[in-house]
Amino acid sequence: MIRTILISILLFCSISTVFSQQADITLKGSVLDAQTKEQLPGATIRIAELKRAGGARLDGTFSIDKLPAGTYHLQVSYVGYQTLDTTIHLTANSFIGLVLNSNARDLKTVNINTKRNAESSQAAKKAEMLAGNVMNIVSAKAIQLSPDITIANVLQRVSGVSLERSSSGDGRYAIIRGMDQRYNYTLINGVKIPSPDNKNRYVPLDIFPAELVERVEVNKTLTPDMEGDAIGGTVNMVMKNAPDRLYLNGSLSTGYSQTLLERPFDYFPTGAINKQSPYEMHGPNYQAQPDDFTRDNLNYTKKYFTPNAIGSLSVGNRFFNNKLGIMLGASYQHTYKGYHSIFNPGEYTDRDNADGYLFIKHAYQRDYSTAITRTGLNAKVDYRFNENNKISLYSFTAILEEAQARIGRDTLPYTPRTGPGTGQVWYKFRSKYQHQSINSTTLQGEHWLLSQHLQLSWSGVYAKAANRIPDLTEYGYDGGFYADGTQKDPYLHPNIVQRYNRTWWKNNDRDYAAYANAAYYATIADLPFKFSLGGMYRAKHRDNFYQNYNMDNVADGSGLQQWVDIYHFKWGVINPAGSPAEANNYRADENVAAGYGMVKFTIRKLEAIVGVRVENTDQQFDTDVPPTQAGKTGSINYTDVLPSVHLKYLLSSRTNLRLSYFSSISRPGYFEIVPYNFTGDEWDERGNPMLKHTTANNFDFRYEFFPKPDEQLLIGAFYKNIQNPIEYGFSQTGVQSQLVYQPGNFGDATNFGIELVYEKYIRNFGIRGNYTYTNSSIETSKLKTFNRIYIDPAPLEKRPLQGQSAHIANVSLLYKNPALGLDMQLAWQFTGKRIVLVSPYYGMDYWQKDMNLFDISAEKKLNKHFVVFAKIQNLLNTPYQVYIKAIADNQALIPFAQKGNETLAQKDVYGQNYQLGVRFVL
Amino acid sequence: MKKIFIKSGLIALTALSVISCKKSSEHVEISKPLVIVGQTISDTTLPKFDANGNAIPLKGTMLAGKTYHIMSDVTINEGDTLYLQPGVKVLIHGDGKSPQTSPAFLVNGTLASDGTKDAQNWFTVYETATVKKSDATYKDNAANDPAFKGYWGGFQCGANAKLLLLRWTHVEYTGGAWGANAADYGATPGDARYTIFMNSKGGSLGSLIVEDSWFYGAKDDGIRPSNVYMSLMRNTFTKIGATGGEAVNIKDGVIGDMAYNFTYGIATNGLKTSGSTGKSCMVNIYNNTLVNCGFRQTKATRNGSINTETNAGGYIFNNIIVNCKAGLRISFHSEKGKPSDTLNTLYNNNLTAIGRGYPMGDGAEQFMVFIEAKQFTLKQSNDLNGYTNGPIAADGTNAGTNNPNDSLKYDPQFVNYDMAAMSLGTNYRIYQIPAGADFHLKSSSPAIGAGVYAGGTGKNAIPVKPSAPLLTQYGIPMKMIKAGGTFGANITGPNKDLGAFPTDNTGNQHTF
Repeated sequence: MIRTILISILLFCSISTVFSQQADITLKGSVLDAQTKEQLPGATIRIAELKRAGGARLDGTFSIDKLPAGTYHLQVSYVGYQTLDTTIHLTANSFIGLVLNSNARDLKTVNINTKRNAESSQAAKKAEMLAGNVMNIVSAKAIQLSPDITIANVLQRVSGVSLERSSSGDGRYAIIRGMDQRYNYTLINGVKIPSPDNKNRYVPLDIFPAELVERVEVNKTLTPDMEGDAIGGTVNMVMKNAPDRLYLNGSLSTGYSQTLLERPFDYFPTGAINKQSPYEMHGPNYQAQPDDFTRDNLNYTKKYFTPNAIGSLSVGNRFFNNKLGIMLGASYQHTYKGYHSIFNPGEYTDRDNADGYLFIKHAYQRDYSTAITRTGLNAKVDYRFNENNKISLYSFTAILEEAQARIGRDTLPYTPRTGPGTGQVWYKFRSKYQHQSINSTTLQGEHWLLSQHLQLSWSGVYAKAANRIPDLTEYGYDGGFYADGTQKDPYLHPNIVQRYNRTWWKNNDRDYAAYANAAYYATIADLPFKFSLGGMYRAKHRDNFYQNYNMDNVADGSGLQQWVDIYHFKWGVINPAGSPAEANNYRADENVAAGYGMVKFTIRKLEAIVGVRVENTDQQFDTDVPPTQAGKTGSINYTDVLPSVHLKYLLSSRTNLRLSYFSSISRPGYFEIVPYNFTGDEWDERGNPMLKHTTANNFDFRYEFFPKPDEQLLIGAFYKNIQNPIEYGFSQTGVQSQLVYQPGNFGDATNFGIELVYEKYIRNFGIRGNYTYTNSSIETSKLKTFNRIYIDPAPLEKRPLQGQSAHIANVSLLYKNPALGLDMQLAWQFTGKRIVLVSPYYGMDYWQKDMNLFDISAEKKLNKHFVVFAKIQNLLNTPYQVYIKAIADNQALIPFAQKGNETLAQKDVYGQNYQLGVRFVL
Repeated sequence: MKKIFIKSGLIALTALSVISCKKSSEHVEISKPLVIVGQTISDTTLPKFDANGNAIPLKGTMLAGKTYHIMSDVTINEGDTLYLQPGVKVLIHGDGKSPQTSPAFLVNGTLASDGTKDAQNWFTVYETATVKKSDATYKDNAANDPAFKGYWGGFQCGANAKLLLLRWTHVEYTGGAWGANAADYGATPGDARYTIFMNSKGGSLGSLIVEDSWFYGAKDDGIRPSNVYMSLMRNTFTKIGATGGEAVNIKDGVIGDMAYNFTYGIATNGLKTSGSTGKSCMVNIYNNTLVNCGFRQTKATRNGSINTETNAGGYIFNNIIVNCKAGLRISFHSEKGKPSDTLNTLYNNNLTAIGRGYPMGDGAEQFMVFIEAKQFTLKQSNDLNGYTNGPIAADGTNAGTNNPNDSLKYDPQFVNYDMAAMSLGTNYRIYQIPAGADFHLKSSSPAIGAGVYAGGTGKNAIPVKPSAPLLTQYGIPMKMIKAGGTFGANITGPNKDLGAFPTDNTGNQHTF
């Protein structure tokens, strides 16, 4: 329905601008940047006398037809450029080459990014070409045009980047070149920020609204001046800078999720949640009573109208003779999502005189309803004392609130299930509310000394990240429709309430960091070089609080308690004092000190960066377990020396050849080394103090061809040798079949691949595509039984790294019609099959199926200041599917699970997402 | 009835053992040697603390006639032994409200409680105005019965514990929540502690010997061992598991026998065995009597008497199951369990009697069946029950039927327990053994002479299964655990009668 509306709008737009005049001359031309000769699509060409106008297309050309002969004033304007006013004589069809001067004053040639309209795609391309290392850049323009509302979604358009989704279905972490999020780090304005995530150090990218970002840089190689703990790559979000003139940009949009058009939203009031556990509220000696636990937040009501509201506003200007720049940004997104999930976890089962087999124990059907609020506040103040000295203060706050109801049932696909409509059924209800925030303030300075030969830069950072998950609760009852062995016909069994848990979790991270860099520019024997020295120190502290209450299903008089509703559920508290002395209550510190030296020099066409970085890591933790237990405290210290060489050879002014080697590391989360122990969503999880940090040697080769400034062809290859990669797997605790999900070092791995990026524009049309082939491999031992006994030694199984797809591809088709002020983009994203969960058992890993996602977006300029836009995400309603490459040997059929030689373990159906809005640009 | 406390003889320096021979009136009493291990423990308030406030681990001998007060967790270190002479009373000061106020015995070495029939040992809660003991008036009231309060934490044995031996010992009111050290025992803080948890992780298996003892009141499972040699003989279990839990829940790596035990009114199963993937659990289950079990388990598909799961095997013979939710189950699949090791399982000569084979009125989820269909269990040639085997599917399960008209048909005729009356109304739920109840067999009982035993012939012969390597290796009863002497097991082989109380009185010695 929404789709038809959208299409009608577009058709209407294209008709409305047609008009006629008696004339037959056509004026064609191109608009280029005066210095870089880049095409400037979107530039406006106005003929004042005729009140006619045209716009430069994606390839920078324009065409205005049906003009009468004459002499006219031609005005050419483009954001960030000085308007050109010139006169032309038209007598016949003509072609005219126009050049515009950027209105930014280039202070330093070194500083190419900050000036001009740094938000544009061209600037991004240019920076990419000039960068010393292998880098991909997505500009704000590209972000605006893309169907994405978070940075995470934007990133999946970058070559070699795929996404790991969060439980709300949004992309949350970037997997760069097949390397899991733990091998990548996130920067804001070049500064590392702590993560509010309770489980890992990787900042969830869906917390950042895309609209506050000027550009996103993805670095795939590391130079010595960058922190060394990335093996896949880094993501740097460069926030909007203060412009040279008044800047005002705002947008307002609404949207709807297709799933929620089809079913109502399950709502629970987050205000009813006790933000503190009874232990926190009443002190450590308190004995929690049943009435201390709330019920309203476990009661679900239907909401039938759940439109999204998304808005952003950024404003900036420079004052005092352009010395002071202020840029403020705010973003607010309130979205509702719903999706349906099937979850059939597999279990390894023994049998006589044969290998074990796959059996499906649970068939869950779950409906998720998620309300997400993202708030982003962004303030950047910079002061240029003079050409040689400037300081800036940057502050960023991002808050993510997520309230998720999960309502599901679990039909047990074995006795007494005999067929469709029968079986023991568990009804489960989960309320999860999570509040995450990041707050980061950075003071930075840049100084030029020794008549601009010495550059000093420094940063001081204070950052906080916090996470709260109060009263995470899943409760349920058990019933079903089945025969009991005394009679033939199935009958409905009463619903009996079950025991359940309530958990409070919160963690705080705090970073102090200081960075200092010095660069000396000089020339020896006509060879220009830059010598840099620098260092950084970061003190990070985390504290984690965890409290778990086990709730009893008290008997109802003499019988079993039957389910009525949440207000009639009588429960007891098994552990009224909570669980204070657990390893989940811990404090962890991580101090990283690093220094580097590097030299960058150019010999004719060869540009080289050679250097070394040294990083010392000092980690400590202290848990609340009693001193009689092992692992109460721990400390880990190591130093890594990380050399690197980056070579860039300029084959021509438009062609680069790059070759680089760098050595890098990946640290375990300061959380993963704590011997914590808790019951996770699906598995029991446990920390691993014996975890080693990962080291890697990385080789990169890239051929870059920029035939035109707005076009490119990049071909690259990479090889990584990784020692002690950290992956999550299952370990046996020694208590019966108890398996815990735990980080571990499973052996060494290699990762190699090929990357291809291509962009091409023809008049109004453009195509952007990238493809990455990645081959990673690791060989680890797996459990396997024969005749009910483990095979010893355990067999080895070779597999790709967790999360790594062999094939990742993105193609976007672009259409830009400046005459109509119309931009359209159709984006296809392909993520090939990959392992999402490593099973402890041979041949039973969980694989995500190939996934083709289509998104479409369009915007139409209404006038000089207003733009309407529409986006549809997940056009074809592509499901997320996970399967096990084995046949489940279940007697009773499992719904939806059997498909050839595979067994479906998970299928999430998200539905389309629609967005329609208006943007204002001054 | 359980509160008989024999004061006489406790201060004596000798402990007495009673051996009754056959049915004759000859009564012989021969004194056993006095045993003292290490230092005697004269302080009666334990544990003691060092200058730093850390509890001093316990070792040595607790003396006959003394009453010891346990104020907080006590530890027996690896290599150390705590020995209780006959006639020791241990009172644990706990209220079950938090791990700190629910002390436990943490056994990393050896704990031997050497009670005798005449000088029994006790581990029970210290009763106060707020910590009340249960009594016979709590019959079917798990929500309020103090038996399920979990006042103290039971016996938690570490990975290198060598021996836990309880002989003629009363263990009452266990199940207090796990605290901070839970992870050392494979548990999570907040979980209810089992009365006995033992799991050898090291190279040599520890031993668990529990004989002639009483277990009364536990919040969750009673005895839950993994990776040990085990002998559980002639014990009585009542009021175990408030809303779920087994009297005996044996896990992977256990090798041993479980015989002549009497379980009454247990929440889920009386006796359960379960190995793990790739690892067996070989336990013989014979001559046990199970009554009124399985009716406080809220999950519909858990069994209610004797249950084997995931790679568990052994001989299962001569048991009597009366008025339980379901009879013997050799499981194919359950919510947590995987298929039993049917190759290494032999079962026959068991009697299952149900009072009512129809769903029971208001609580329609409660019913009794002889055998749960669609599992591996079949009615065997010498079984006494009302199940008719059905076709056996490719996966080995059988779709048989229970004949509700066979209710009361297989009554084993206990001397004093009216199974018809006890199935009326909600009587089947009663978990308090009625005063004066006697589960010995009347002379007219079909259980007499129905069992297999060494030397028996025909239906009384202990069968062999040469194709089953583990059955052949271990036999019945097993010879793996150290037998005889103060620190060894007293093993009784299968009887020609069924149940825990055979007519020759060689079985369970308890009276009610």
